[in-house]
Amino acid sequence: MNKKLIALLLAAMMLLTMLAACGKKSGNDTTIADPAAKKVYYTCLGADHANLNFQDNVDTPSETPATYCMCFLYRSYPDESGLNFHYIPDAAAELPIQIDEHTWNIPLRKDAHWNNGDPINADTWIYSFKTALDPKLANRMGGNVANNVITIVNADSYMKGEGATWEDVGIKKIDEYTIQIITENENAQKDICNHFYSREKTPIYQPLYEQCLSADGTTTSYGSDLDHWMGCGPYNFTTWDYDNVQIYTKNPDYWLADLFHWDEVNIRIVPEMNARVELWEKGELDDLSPDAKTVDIYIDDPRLVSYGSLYVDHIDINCKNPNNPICGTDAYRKAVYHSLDRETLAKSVFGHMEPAGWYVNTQAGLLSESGLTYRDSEPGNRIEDLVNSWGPYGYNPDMAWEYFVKACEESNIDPETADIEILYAIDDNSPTWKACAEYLEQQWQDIFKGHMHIKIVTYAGMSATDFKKTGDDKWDFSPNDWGRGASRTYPYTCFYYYRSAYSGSPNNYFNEDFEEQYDYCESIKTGDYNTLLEETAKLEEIYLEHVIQCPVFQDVSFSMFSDDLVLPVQTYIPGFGWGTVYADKNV
Amino acid sequence: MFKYILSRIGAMLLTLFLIMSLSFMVVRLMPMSLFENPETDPEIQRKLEDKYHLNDTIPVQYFYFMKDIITDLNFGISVKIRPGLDVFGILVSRLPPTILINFISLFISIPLGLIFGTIAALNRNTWIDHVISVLVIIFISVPSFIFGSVLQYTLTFALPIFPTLYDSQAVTFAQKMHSLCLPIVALSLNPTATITRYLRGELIENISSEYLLLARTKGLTKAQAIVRHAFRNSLIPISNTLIGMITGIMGGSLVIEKMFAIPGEGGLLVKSIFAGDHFLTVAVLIFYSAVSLVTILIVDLSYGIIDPRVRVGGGKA
Amino acid sequence: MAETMKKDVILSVRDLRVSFRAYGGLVQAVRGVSFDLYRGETLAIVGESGSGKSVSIKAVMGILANNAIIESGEILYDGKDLTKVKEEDFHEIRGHRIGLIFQDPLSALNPIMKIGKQITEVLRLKKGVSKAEAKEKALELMRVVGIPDVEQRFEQYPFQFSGGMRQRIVIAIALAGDPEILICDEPTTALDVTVQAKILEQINQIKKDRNLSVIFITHDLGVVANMADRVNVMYAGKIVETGTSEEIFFEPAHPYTWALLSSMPDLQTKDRLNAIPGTPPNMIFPPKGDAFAPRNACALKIDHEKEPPMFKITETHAAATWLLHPMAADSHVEMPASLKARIERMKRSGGLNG
Repeated sequence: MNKKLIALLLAAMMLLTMLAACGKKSGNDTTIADPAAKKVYYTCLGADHANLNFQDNVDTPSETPATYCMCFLYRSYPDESGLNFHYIPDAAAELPIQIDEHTWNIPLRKDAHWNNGDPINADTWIYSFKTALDPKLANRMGGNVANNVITIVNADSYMKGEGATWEDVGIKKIDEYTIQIITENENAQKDICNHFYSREKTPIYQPLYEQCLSADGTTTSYGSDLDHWMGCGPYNFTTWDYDNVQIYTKNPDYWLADLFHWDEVNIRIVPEMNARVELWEKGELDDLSPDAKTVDIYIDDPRLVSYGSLYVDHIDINCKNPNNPICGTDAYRKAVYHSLDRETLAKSVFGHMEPAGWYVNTQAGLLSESGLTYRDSEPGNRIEDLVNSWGPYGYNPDMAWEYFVKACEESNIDPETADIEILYAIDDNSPTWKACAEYLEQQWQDIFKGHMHIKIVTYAGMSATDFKKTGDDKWDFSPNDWGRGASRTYPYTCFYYYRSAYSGSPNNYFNEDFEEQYDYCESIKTGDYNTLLEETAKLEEIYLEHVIQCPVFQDVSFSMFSDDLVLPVQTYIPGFGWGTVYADKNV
Repeated sequence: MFKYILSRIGAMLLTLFLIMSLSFMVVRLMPMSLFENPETDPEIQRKLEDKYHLNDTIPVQYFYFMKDIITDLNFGISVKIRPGLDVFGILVSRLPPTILINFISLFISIPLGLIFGTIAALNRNTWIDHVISVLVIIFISVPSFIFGSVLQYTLTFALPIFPTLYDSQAVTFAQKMHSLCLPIVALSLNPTATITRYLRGELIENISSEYLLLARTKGLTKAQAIVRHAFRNSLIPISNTLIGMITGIMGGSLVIEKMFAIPGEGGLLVKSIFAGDHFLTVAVLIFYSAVSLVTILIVDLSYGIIDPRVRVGGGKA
Repeated sequence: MAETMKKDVILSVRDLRVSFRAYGGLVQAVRGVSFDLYRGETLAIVGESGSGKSVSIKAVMGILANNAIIESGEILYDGKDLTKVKEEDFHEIRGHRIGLIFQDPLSALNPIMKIGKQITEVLRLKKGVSKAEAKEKALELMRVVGIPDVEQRFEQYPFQFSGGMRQRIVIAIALAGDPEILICDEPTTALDVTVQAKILEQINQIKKDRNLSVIFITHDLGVVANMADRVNVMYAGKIVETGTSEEIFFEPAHPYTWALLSSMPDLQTKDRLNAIPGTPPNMIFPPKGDAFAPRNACALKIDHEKEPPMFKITETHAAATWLLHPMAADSHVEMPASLKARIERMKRSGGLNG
């Protein structure tokens, strides 16, 4: 009898735990609106954002809530033609007004306000920028406030605590509805707008922020959930079930509400591509961005649109691996460069990508005044011709072997007996790069006659990039896909990460000519665009001459949109995208 | 019996303590810094690390870690996944769907396994038994996420009966269960098969046992004899397999949760490890260990309840 | 004593044939067994393992394994042929009319059920007795089979009992249904000798008190001597000799019975015990003639060719061996001298209880 009681109690306990777990959510209200009249945009993201503290949050998914639920000083908006875009004032009253070479005034709207009705004025913006740059908080996105498209004077120095005080920083309040920006360099009006249209430059709600700030002023819980955050954008962030769904509903009080057509935006978090494809096939999504593997299914679908992205995927080569002295020679890196059959890799291993024997991406220069991309320009073409003169996309097994022999001789190794092992560091979850390594291992049997081998290493639980940050330099190759948004305006900035000045430089490389040429480009960036293209070509030549790293393919992005969706653009606009935030739906 | 329970709980707490220590050490040995951020001023970085005692020696860190947990269930704050949020709060907020799918799977698979195991044993060596045995082999050897994707494809896409993903917006319990049906089924197959297999074996053994024969010769009907003697005796060894089943289900749910976009603990563990959110990783590890240990405890205790040899024998010792 | 009793047949087995389906073919375990059980008597069935004695009994109890086939014959009890009784109805006979005591008390009891419950179970389930009444009856039965501290023992589990005690419990369980026939299938084989005697005495006592008819199965002739009124000797699925205890022990006629008796240890014998050479035959292909012939040193030629019929020696005594055929008289095959001496000794010591 006694044991039956115990068993019964146990069962009851389990049942109760379960009911407690399930019962939590029931009894919510259902929004009973006429669904036919409601325009809902159904889309998905691969991952959720960690929080809504845009000044610190580095994950890309946080761009979405910022775009929908926050206001900016300026927003990008598609042209009537649907082929290009321009900036429109958002919380600003009009486009920036140039006072002198380096000074811009930004007049503010008088009716801008938070979702709770509190006004957004010069004080709001000054407080927000000051917080973003606060040296104690050390916000991870703060650097982008100081320096992205434009460089604000002393902002970097203030943030890093290198002497400048807040009074020295080039962000000033002129009056209640005007702020002033002082820049390091001379910039175009568009650059000012562009600079302020990114998530870390959205305002923060002072009363709440101060409440969330820790006593010592170093950490904040602002934006950790919807209760610790305030919105001010075209949509209200009404539901955030972390890792599952985000729902935005239209904010009718927003000052530019007429530009936005969705009644609701429903964003599912779907980590698995397969599940996304299923949702799309079932008509539960309005758009889908197939990855290189999935795109095979849709390659003949008329709805599939593609465009070359900002990234040229490449292999970083460590020039200072103490275990592999040959890696310091240019000839070794050239041997590697010429040994890559990029056409096969891009099409067969990575699937539907564009082979690239060069490093400047196809979007570079798109946002320049003339809209001429570097790759389409004469200097860019010249580099492509140079590369193709060695072989298709630089692939030339004979040259690879010659350079290998040369590299061996330079390093006092007998090429006949050489046995060089290349440590190829990749992330656990990158099957394509693993396949690439396996393909190379095969090819190298012939090209290097068995004298060079690839050994794949992964660092469980951390990315190869993180691993390199630990200071370990005993690796040789590491795939990478870093891109630089600024290169859309200034093509040479693609090479930003390979200067010794960049703290996270991924390949221990130093070359004086290259640094000089980069600095020269930097100094003439606002000058004649054609000269800049010419100088960029020289930079790319130096890059190729020394094979600073090894380009493999130009990344191509794919998208599909449902037939009901009415996009505000005719085509993909780099730097603007498809403008789904302004899209409409045929109901 | 009381002493037995007490000694079991004691052993469980000791194990939990060891696991906590171990996960603390392992995670601390991972090479990523908690506040790795090249833009941060070293002074601030130091301050941050001071705040979490990261600059102290490992034993001192360990002391604080344990103290915080024991005194006020403070597992620290998340720094990467949900910066600024209390780790324990994150853990709790993600508990409902995980508990739902894990426990419902378990509660479904036990009776199903018992039913199929009994059917197979009673129809031993007939086609029914063979069909069940083949299915059992399939369900045991193929991991749950394969069934997850097969089910997802067939029952949400080819034949759209269920939603593709977990719907956290579901209002009623029925709606919620509707969207959790497939993950639960995917997770239940393996444990159901496990129980079926064990029960079949145990029952066959018990049915051919002497005491079952005695039960029949003393005049019980075959059904009475099997239910009262063979079945109950078979449950004892089965209860032991529950431990493996629960850890199996939890392991499977790591992947299943991702597949069906269920915001549960499984996804959290994987994410926190990759993000280097050490406090969170440790907390989720402790959560999983605690669940396993409690399971083992419950199974051990129920073992005592249903098996007099343990209960009475233990009382003697 | 048996002769003076009015012979009232309670169970009659007629030409029973049981085979088992096995991988090699049909195992003919029982090949035409016939015997009667008289009310109030103890009938022993003796034979080596594999001789078919247990199978015959299982057929009587209706607990043959699934792969067994009753090929022919009938088991008449209470006007019914038990071979025709359906499994669903058999539980009315098992326990209530015919009880069974197992060979191995260690594994015959459910290890996780309280002793008391194992006894009362059948009373509660089959006889609809109230809980208190059932307990009362169980306690009484436990006293009857000689268990001390019944109240306390009632609540205990089998693992808290010794082997002998468990066998007593098994007997109590068998008695719980109030059967009129008790079948004991090697009830003492698994127990040590001192306990054996006590248990046998107990069974005898109970038999007398309750006027039971007992079928006693054993391979141990020593046990038989104390218990049985009549003895059937089985070999290779057949009864090779049947008779009263005295007839079997003092005037054995079948060479197999000789061999069994010779291999039986006793206190007086100083000679070497004679183990029976060879092994029982493969029952998938039973031998053509006398099944024992291959192991019988003094087998006749005809033993290998033709199966001997039962030769009647007295009203109660019969044996299936060609030695009893008139034509075999000149073959001069006799029982071994050592056995003869031994029987003489036994006779002198006045009975079977030596």
